[in-house]
Amino acid sequence: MNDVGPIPDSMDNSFEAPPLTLGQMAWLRFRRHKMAMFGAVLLLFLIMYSFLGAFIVTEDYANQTNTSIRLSAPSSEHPFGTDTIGRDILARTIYGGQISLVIGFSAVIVMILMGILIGSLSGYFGGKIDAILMRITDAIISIPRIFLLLVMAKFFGNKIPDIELIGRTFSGSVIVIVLVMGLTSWMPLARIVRAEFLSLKNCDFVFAAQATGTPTWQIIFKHILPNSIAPIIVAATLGVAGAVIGEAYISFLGLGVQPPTATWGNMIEGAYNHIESAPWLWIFPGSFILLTVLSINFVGDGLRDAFDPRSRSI
Amino acid sequence: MGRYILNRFLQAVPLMFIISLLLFVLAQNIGDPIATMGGRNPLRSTDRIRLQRQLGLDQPIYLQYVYWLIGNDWTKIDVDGDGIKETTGRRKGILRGDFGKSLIKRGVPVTKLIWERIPNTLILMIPAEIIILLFGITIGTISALKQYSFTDNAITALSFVGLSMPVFFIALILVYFFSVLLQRWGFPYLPSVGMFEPEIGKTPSQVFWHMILPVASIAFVSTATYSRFTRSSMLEIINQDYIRTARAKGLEGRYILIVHAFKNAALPIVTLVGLDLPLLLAGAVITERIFAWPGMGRLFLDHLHRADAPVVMGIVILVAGAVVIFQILTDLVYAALDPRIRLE
Amino acid sequence: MENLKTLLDVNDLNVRFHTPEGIVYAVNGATFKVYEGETLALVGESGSGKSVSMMSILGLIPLPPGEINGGPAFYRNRNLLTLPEKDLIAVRGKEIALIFQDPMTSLNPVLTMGRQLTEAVIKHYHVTKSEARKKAMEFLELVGIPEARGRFSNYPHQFSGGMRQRVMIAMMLALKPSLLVADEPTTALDVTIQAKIVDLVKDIKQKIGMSMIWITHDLGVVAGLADRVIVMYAGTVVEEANVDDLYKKAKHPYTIALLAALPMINSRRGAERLKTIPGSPPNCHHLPTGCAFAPRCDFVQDQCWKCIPPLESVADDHFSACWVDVKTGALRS
Repeated sequence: MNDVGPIPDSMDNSFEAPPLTLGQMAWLRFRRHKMAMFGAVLLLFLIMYSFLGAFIVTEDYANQTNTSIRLSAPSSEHPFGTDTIGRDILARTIYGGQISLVIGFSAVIVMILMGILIGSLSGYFGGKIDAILMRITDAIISIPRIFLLLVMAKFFGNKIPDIELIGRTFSGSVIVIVLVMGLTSWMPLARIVRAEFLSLKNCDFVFAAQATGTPTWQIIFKHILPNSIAPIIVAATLGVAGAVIGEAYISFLGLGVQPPTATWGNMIEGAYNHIESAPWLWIFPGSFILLTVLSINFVGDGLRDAFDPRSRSI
Repeated sequence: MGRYILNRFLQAVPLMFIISLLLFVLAQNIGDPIATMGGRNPLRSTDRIRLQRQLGLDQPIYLQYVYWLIGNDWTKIDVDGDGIKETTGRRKGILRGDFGKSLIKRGVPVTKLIWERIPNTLILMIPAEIIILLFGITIGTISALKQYSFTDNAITALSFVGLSMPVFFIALILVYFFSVLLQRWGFPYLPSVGMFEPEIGKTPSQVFWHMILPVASIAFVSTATYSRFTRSSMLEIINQDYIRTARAKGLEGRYILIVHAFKNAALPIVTLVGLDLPLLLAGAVITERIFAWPGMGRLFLDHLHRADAPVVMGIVILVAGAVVIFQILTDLVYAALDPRIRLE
Repeated sequence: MENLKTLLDVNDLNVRFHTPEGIVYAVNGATFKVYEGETLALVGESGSGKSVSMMSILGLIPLPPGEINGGPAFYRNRNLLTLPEKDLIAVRGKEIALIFQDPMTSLNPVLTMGRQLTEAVIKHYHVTKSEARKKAMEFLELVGIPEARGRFSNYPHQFSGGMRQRVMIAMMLALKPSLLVADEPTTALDVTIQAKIVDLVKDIKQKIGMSMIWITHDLGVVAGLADRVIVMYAGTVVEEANVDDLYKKAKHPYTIALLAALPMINSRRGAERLKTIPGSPPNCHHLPTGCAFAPRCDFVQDQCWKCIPPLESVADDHFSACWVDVKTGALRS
C-alpha cells in the first residue's frame, strides 16, 4: 500500500511554480509596488521630455536671447514664460533637463566605479590596504558634502575646456560637475561594497575559486561582485537623485554649469532676485527637479524592496 | 571603557590629518585671492609680489601647509623681500588654535570671523532640529502604527515629496506664499530677508519673525527624512517577538509603545541625530543665501567666491572636526544606552 | 470527559493572511476543546496552523494582513473572537498565558529582567513593585532560579537560553493564568535543556494543577507530557484522542505516518531505514478541494480527493477526519 497511483494533474493539491531567477523575482516584486511603477513611468516621461523634446525645439532657440520680451509671463507663445534675458523657459527646461539628467547618470557612473574599486579592494584584501583606504574614505565622509562640492567646484574651476560632442558644445563645467559629483559620493557605496566583500569572501565558492587557481581579479569581479549587485543597483539609482540635487545646488550658487548651457539648477540662479515679479522663473525648473528626484526615489525604494522584501520599508 | 574612549580619540588623529591635508590641497587652487583685493584696478606687479610675501603665499606648498598646521613662530621669515629671513613669524598654527587671518579682510583673525557668525547659524539650526525631531518622530510613529491605512499611505507619499524637494525650491515656495502673496493681498506677511530690519535693530522679536521662513525651509526636508526613518525603525520593532510577548502578557498598547518600543527605537534615532548635529554648523548654505541670513554658510560662500583660503579652510576643518568628535560621542551614547554593549 | 469543565471551546476557526504573493490559508475549520486541569498537546508540522490558531484566538495576529472568520471561540462562555480589545487585554496573561518559542528574541533586550517580570503583574493585580517582585521571586524559585533577587537588574542577554526560557515561564506563571499555552517552548533549545524544561513543566503542573496546551511538532515530547492529543494538518484538526489511544490505536493516516517516522532505538525490527512521509507539505495558497493529506496518504481512495472528511467520532473520546478505516483499508460507512 505504499505506492499511490499517478496523481491526476487537475487534482494535485500541491504544485510548485517553476524556479525564477533573482532578476525575474525582483521584477515581479517591483511590479507590485505601485509607487515604484508610478515613479518609473514618471521618470520615463521626464527623460522623453528632455531628449525627444530636442526634436521639437532647437538648442539655438533655447539659447536665443531677446531682451525685448524679457521676464514675460507664460503665454501661448512661451508656455513657461521667458527669463531675465528673454530666453524661452520651456525650451530651456528641455535642454536643461538633458544636461541635468546626463550629469546625474554620468556622475553615478563615476561613483560606481570609484565605490566598487575601493570597496572591493578594501573588503577583499583587508589589512593595511583596508586600513588606509577606509581612513581616506572616513576623512572624506567627515567633510559635509556641500562644502566639499563647492570647494572642489572652485578648485577645478575653469580648468577644463569646452568640448564638442555630437555637434553640440558642452561647457567644460559639465565635466567638472560630473567629476565633482562622482568624487564626493562614492564613499557610502564603498562601505557597502566592502561590507559585502567582508562577508562573502569567506564563502565556500570563494575558497573553491581560489583552490582552482582563479586569478584574483577574476575572483573579485566575476565571482564575488555579481553576488552583491543588488545593493549596488539600489545605491546607484538613489545616487542619480543625489547627483541631480547636488548639481542643482551648486549651479544655484553659481559654481556649477555656466550659462549659456542650461541646467535646471542654474536656471534658478538669478531667479531669486525676481521672486515677486516672475515666479515662473523658478517654479518650472524647480518642479522638474522635484519630479525627477521624486520619481527616482520611488523607483529606488521599489528596487530596494524588490531585492530584499525583508527590508524594512512597507 | 576608558581605554576604548582613548582609543577612539587616538584613531581620530590620523583622520584629522588626512582631512587637513585634503582641504589644504583643495584650498590652494580655489582662485587667486590677490586678484580680488585690488578692487577694480589691477595690481602692479610690485604690489602683488609684496602682498604675496606678506600673506605667506610665496612659500613652497609644503611649507605653507606646515606653517598653517603648526605656525611659524619657531622660525624666521623674510618680510621685507631682501631674501634674508630675519623676522620671527607670528603664527601659531591651527593645532594651537590660530587659524590665521583672512586674506580678504586684512588682519582679521579667522576665528573671530567664525565666532561672530556661529550664533546666527545656531539660531536657525537649533529650533530647526527641535522641530525636525518632534514632528519627524511623531509622524513616523503614527505612520508605522497605522501601516497599510490611508493615513500611512498619505504620510508616505508626502514624505517622499518632502525628501525629494530641493531646499531652495521649498524656500522659494514659502517665500512666495508667506511673503510675497500675503503682502500683495494686504495681509500681514513674513519677512524674507536678513535677520532683522535695519531700522528696527536686532531685537528678539525681529529675529523671531525673520527666522520663521528659513527655519521652516530647513525643517521641511529633514522632517520628511526623519519621518521615514522613524517609520521603518518602528515597523521593524513592532514586528519583533518581544512586542508580541508584551501583548501576550496583557499590557496596554500605549504602555507597550512608550516603554517597550520607544526604548528600542531610541537607539537608531540617537545615532541619526548624533551624526546630524554637527552638520548644523555647516549652516544651511543654500538657505542662508536665499534669506540673506548672516550665518556660517554665508560666510563660507562669500569667502569661497573670493578665494579666501584661510577662512574657507578654517570653517571646513572646524565642522569636519565636529563631525569626527560627534561620531565618537554618538558611539559612546549608543553604548551607554544599549545594555547589550554597555555590559559585556 | 464530559464531567470536566470546558475551558476553551473553539469551533470552525478560519484564519487567512493577505500577502503580496496571494492569500495564505493558515487555519481552515479548526475545532477543538480544552478541559480544565488537562494537558493538551497540539501536534503538527510547520505551517499546520497550530500556532496561528492560538494566537488568533488571543487577538495577537495583526488584522491586516490577517483575517479571522468562523468561530466562535469560547473561553469560559465568552467568545474571544468578538471581545473588544480592552476586555481581551484582561484575558491575556491573566487568564490565558502564552509562552513563545524563541527565548532569545521573545524578551526585550533593553529592559531589565525585573521590569519584564513584574510589569504585567503590577498591571493586572494592581500591586506595588515590591509585592510584584516577591511574587516573581516565588515563581523564579519554582522554575529553578533560586536567590534571584540580585538578578532583577540584569538584562536578557546576560542569561543563557535555557534560563531565559525559565524566566519566560516564571513571567507568565506569575500572572496566575488558568490556561498556559506553550508554543514549541523547547524547539530553540539544546536537547539536554529541552529535557529539563519538559521536566520542569511537568513538575509545575503537578504543583499548581493548571491547564496547559503544549504546541509541538515533536511526537516524542508529547508522550510523557500530555493527557490528550490533537493532530493538525493543513490548518485543520485531523485527529483527536487521549494520549494512549493515539499512540496505540491511531486512526488517521497522517498520525500513523508520523508515528512510523519516529526513530526508535530498541526497535525489534532491527536496523531499518527511517520512514518518511512522501510528497511535500500542502500548498497553503490554495484551499484544498478534498482531504488535504490525499497526495501523501497511504490509504487514499477516490472519495478523498472529492470531499473534505469531517471530524467524526471513531471510538470513545476518539475523533478522526478520514473517510477510510485504516484497519481494513476500505471506506467507513
